[in-house]
Amino acid sequence: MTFHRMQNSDATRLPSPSQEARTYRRLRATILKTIFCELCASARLRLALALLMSLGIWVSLFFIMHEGFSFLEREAGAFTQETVEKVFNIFYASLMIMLFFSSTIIFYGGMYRSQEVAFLITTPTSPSRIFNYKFLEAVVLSSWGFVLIGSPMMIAYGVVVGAPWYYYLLLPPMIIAFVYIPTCLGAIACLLVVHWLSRFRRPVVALMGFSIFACGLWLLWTIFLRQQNELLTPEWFEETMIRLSATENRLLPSWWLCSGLLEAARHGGTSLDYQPWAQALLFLSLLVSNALALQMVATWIADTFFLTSYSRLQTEHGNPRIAKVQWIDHLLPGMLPFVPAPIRILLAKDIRTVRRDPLQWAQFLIFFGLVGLYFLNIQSIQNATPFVGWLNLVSFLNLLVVGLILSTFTTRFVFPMISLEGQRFWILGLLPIERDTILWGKFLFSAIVTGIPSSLLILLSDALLQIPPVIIFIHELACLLLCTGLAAIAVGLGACMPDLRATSPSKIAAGFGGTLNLILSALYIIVIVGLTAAPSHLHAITQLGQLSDALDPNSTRIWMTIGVGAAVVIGVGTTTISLRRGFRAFSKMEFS
Amino acid sequence: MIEFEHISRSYGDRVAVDDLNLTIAPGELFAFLGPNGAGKTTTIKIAVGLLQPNLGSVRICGFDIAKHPRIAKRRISYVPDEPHLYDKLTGREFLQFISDMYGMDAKAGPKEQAVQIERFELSDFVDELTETYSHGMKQRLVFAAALLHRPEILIVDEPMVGLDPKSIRLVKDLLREKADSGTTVFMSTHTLAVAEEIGDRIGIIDRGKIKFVGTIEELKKSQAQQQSTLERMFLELTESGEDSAPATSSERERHTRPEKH
Repeated sequence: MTFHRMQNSDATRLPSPSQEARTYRRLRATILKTIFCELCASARLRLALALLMSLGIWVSLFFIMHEGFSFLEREAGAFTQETVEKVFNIFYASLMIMLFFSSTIIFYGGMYRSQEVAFLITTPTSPSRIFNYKFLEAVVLSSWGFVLIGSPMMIAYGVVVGAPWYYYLLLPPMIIAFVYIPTCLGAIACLLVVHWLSRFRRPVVALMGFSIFACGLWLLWTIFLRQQNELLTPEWFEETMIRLSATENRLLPSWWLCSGLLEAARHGGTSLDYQPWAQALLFLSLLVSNALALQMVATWIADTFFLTSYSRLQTEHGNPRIAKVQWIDHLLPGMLPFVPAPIRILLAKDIRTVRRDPLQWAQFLIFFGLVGLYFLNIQSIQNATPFVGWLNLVSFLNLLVVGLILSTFTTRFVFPMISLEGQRFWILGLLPIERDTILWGKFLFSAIVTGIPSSLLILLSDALLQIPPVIIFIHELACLLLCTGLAAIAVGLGACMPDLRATSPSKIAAGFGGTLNLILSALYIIVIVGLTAAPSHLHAITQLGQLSDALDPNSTRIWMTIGVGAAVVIGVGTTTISLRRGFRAFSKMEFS
Repeated sequence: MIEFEHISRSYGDRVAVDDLNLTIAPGELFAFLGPNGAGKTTTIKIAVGLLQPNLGSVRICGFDIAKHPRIAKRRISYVPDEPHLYDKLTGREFLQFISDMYGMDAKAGPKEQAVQIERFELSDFVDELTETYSHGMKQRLVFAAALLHRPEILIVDEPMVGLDPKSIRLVKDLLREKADSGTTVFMSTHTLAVAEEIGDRIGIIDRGKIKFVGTIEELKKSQAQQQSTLERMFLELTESGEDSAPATSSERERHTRPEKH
């Protein structure tokens, strides 16, 4: 058999592109079906909660958008169309940029860092098929948030302007075609960067990060700081729109989408020269043709470069990670000389583990950084709102926000700690320490690590809002109760409902135990903040002479004391009960 | 047949495989030995197309894997030391996926799946999700999947790790049987006894360089240690400096063995 004949006969035995595509579709469908059936069978609460919350967010956004567009229709009159066009252009242009970056990152993780792709490469699958398989994944993962936010907005707009039926029909293909474009560009950027700049990918990523940060700063500066006019006035709005007019560039896909949708929402005239639906179809075809062309380019690039770039990336020799003990590892244990030595040792171990995993603390840092930025801007509320009652309310809302962030932190990082210890329990299990000590270590770690930044943030918020010292004291007390209570719930539940087989903390947090932890934490936060906020708000109002007919300022002070007392009782009770249950479950736990 | 021609591959500044020349004939069971980090897995990854060499080429049944990756891979099956399985597929669904990937038709696929299910005694758990499998069960499934399309070349990386004695016997018999029936078997292992027991030839790699290729008898001759064990000879070879590598008859033949003995 000659070489060419062998080659041809082998090629015919390989699955055709359509067979290959069918195989991958079947694979994805089977996996999704299994996951869905599993969720229905064993995680109904989580599934129901996720669906309900998504629906709740969607409906809330729809009503907010509906109200907004109705307001514009009423107030702006003839300017509605122009204003909406500008706002839509800015919205879609921003989304396009975000989609580009998020899809680049998701695509990189899926294509170059997944075990699945390493397996697929060893099979006779073509690189372009692997690309298309992973590309679709990146499209869905990077754009579901956009669909969740964008669809209620566009439907609300259609309802308010009384858009014809084909507007709703054109909406899905337009959004899908639009999403494809930045995702394709992200995939192309990723493939090319890895192929040509794999040695410099860290500087490239740093540059991308810096670019995003610089864009954000520029936007903030343009919208808020560079303004000649007072904030949130019609003049300010007009000036901002002018400054961001670059988003109306006709070469941008966001402009095509925006124009297509606005045309589709218009009612057809009698003139044959101009029919809005035809214009909308024109923009749709522009979006679709560009999306398909870009996907073809991306597929060709993947076919040509992927295997080489994959190999290049895998064989790059990373610098060995030399880890040293830092002063910060000993700071916290050193501050607690009264705590038994084994707990301090475990505390130091947990701090070191978290410190060396930037993925963990970076999320926390970003959350708290954003809250900090918001608090720094809070002074404008103080200046704009002379009513003390509102300031008091805002200060408690800030406490609520900090509490909710803490609950996500404890669910994501503290709750899985016990489950993760299961994998290496032979180390801790052989140590000459009580099992309770391990839980005490986790509890102290969580309470202190969350307590310090939270109390400082609350103090910052209160100082900027010029809150009276008594309320500051209540806030700090509530913050302490939140930190200890949330830490105890996470540690206790983590010990009661461990998932000793899981290795990924995110998977543990996303399980039933994690969901329950999040719900209980949210309830606890609402109770603690509600008990401290409601009486103190009434007290603040009566201090100003309002509601004095119904409430006596002295009685509100008593109510405030009762509220704080009840919060302390509930906080201490929750902490004690959660820990006790955790200790009991942990002492009975069997590790394989 | 697998032909490695002047293969070199570096990880940054570190050379993992250095000018490797090796030919493994059809029907031969070749055991690839070497200390940790010697370059075994890199060589295997190059052979299956996961990595591309800096220099040289690998030919699979005459096809250059870099130039004709799909056609070459159609003829290979690869069993890695830590195989990837889809957690949310059952064993049977995974086998079906592999059948489809290798273009097996609607009749041959299920028939061959049934054969492999029986051979590897998978029937008790083949309809359960693979996430519930133990390491041994996973390894058996991966072997079953690897043999579905009747590959001409079987490449296995550390096949015995984590297997119970019965499964080890099964795998050893299987590899020998495949080689006897004409399949080229390229196996990397740390278990010297296995290499000695079932290997037709052994190759010893150290710091990226081939130190020896040949039969155990040839190794004994080259080391002038007729009574020595493979373990002792392996340690001597891999502990000796680069310059003291023995010039074996196999090396002179560029590590080629065109016919099966």
